[in-house]
Amino acid sequence: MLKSMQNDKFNELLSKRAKEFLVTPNADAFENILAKRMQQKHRRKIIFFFSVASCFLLVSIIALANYFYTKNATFLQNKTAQFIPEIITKNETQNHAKNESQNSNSTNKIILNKEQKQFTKSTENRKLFISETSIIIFKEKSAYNQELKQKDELIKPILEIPKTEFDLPEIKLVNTKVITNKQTENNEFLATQKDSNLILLEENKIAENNQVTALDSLPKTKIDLSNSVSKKTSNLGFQFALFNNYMFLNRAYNGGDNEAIQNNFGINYNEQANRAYSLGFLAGVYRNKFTFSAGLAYNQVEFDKIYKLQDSQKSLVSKENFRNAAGYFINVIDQSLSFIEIPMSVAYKIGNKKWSVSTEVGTAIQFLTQTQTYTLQNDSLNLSPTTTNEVANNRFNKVQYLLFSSVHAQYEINKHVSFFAGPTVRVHFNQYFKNDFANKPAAQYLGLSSGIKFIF
Amino acid sequence: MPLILKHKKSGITDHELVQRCINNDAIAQKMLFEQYAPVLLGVCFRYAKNESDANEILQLGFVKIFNSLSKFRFESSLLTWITRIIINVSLNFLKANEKVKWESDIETIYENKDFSVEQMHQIDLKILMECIQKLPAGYRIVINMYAIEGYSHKEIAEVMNINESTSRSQFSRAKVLLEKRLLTLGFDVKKYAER
Repeated sequence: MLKSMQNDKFNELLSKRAKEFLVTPNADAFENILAKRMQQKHRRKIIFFFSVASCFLLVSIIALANYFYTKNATFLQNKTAQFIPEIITKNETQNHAKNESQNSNSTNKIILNKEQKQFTKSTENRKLFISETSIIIFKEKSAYNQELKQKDELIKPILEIPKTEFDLPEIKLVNTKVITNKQTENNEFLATQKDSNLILLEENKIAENNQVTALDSLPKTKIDLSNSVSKKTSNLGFQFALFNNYMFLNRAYNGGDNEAIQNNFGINYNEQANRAYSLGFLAGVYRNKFTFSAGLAYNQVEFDKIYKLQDSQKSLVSKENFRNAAGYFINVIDQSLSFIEIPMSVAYKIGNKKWSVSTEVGTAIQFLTQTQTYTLQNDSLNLSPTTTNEVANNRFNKVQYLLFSSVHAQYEINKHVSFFAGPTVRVHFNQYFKNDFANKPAAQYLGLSSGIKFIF
Repeated sequence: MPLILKHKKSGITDHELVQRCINNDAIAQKMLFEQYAPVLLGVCFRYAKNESDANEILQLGFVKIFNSLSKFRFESSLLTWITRIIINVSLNFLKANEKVKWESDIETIYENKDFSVEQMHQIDLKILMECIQKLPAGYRIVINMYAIEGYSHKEIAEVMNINESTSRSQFSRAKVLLEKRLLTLGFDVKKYAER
């Protein structure tokens, strides 16, 4: 009991005395806390950007792999389909027709025609037939069966469309592209849909509700249309773009008079980024009218320094030599920063003709790789430019974040290549400099971007 | 009616201060820091083994405080809440940077009969802190959490992932060692001051 009371007393007194202990932190403790927070934020942002960039790249790789895999698979299947050495005689065909009429589930059987030596898939209504040279539309099933029974020559087509005519002007429907302007007496069209089927459409049905009603369909994987149908019918694919930006400063990035930096000669100067250039590539996947891209670019930012005498508001010079009041030559410095940039963007394409417009929004992370300072000697009349490399210069933030948005006019040279150009705005959301001008807005650029796009 | 505390210098309430800190107002953050840092650094000193560790813990703690202020619901006082964060950060720091030994064997612990609790009043605060800092990490944690912060052994056991009995025996040992050090160092105040 006594021991317990003594313990309580000990705790009470120790607690009381310990809580009296106050210590004043170091003078730089608060700055260190802010710096640590900033570092933590940067780390989180970097992790976020890398995660998103990795996802984009992964999607791009999968899309590319899928594209090549599908292409190869289609090729193999085409080969198989074209060289099926099966010939059905008249009797066999009749037997087959009988079987078909007995068993309605046999609609997917391939029937070979003695003359055409190719296949078709029998379904209700109209039937599609692919030959080496053309795609043929036949009458509905009952008529087909009747004809088979009555005639030696097998099927009389109601429309035959040579493959060479497939690459005709397009008629855009919902998710569907008509691949020929030939039509039957019932206004039926041959079309492709979602890159998978060759389908026969009834025009009136389309007109009524803007929906596609297929009379018949044939898996496209069984048909070699590689030389005849435009690749653009694909709504999932891969694209690669080379681009460059030339940007002009829109909103000044400078410290104003209060934050003006003083150089060794007692001269104040302001510093602002004036121009930025980017050159790089974007790889992406497109789905319908949206394109998701990620890439890599080289970016260079050039600064101008405007010098002022300490007691004067007048700007003396920019990028030229001059003497100050004390008779010294003043440093003339032109600085440029080089970044490696990882842009990511989402684009939406409007229109699908030779000329189209696409809008794009994106974000980019830039990693400072080099700072270059061109300095003219100030202590002699013999002015010679020197270049110093200050990669480890502590003044600059090593990582930059920005948002960009652009509107591009796009001209399609052919199915695979198009040019684009248009205005771009880029807004930085952190400063080039670490601690300078902390409360000032970051740089904002307006400019032009242009490039070439390859579509697969 | 809730008690609204106003800050001495600025005259703004904790509510306003917290809100401004959440909005990344650097001035408010500095005010919060200046207001609470001396108390919290005192806490850090008790948990850390030296001054530089204490400063590091304080900085890490404030980073966490600023990042988590939006989660503060004013269910307790701001000081209580941020002290709890600092204690958590201290414990994590100790776990990461010091070897914490937990001795759970039951062994007779000899009390210091020469030590009288009342003498605690006479001890110089700096010496008291120095004695706490020099305790092994495990002892330091239990002395701080049980004797000073008022956590129960059960709570300590849960937080540190040890048995309740381990916490008890650790505290007894820590107390004996602290008393011993205070006897050899602390009570000869004059001698200490002359050093």
